[in-house]
Amino acid sequence: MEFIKKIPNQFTERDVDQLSHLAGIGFGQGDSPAMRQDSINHINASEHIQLVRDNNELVAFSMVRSCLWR
Amino acid sequence: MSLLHSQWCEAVFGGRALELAGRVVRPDYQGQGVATQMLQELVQSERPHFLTTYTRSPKILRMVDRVSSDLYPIADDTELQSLASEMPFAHAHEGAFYHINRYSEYEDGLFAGEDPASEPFKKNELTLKQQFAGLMDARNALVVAARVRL
Repeated sequence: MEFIKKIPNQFTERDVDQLSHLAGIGFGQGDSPAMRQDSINHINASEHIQLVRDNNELVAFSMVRSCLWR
Repeated sequence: MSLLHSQWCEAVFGGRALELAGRVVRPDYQGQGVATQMLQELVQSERPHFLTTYTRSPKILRMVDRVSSDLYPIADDTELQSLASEMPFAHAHEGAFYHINRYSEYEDGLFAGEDPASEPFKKNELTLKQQFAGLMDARNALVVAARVRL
């Protein structure tokens, strides 16, 4: 398995397609327009996204945002 | 105490919190520690003091718990409660904080099929829904805050 870290502006259209497809599988929503838009919104709101690929297929992701608690 | 969402906080004083904003592991890769490995790599590289997330899933709570010393609202903790209260859209309800209607764009909630909140955080305990009444509505998410184990 390959672990990769990307920031939103490094995302290609293929990355978005793969991530929204996986999100649709994970949440049982399928490839719905709402799931794709939700995925895009989350990608754009993230500071970075961890991606895990196996045999060139996306098998996991995690989106992360930073904040400061003071 | 206050919470700032920031792109520049790596070099700034104060306790740094990371929000886990969304994560999925393909079903045939679940149970292999992939999510935990991602989280451990994140903690090692970013060195946050706190983790936060919105969820209805006990699996996510258990994953965060593995790298944390304290996990709110599973356990009471004044500082973590305060952090949770500062999260965007946090709404207090019966001893916990929720993002009400977080999944409103999905008619029956984010999770089609079985609702993960119908499972307990730990075996033989109350389900998450029973423990946190705000999760009875499938469109709501629990606000979670954890102190990362040093």
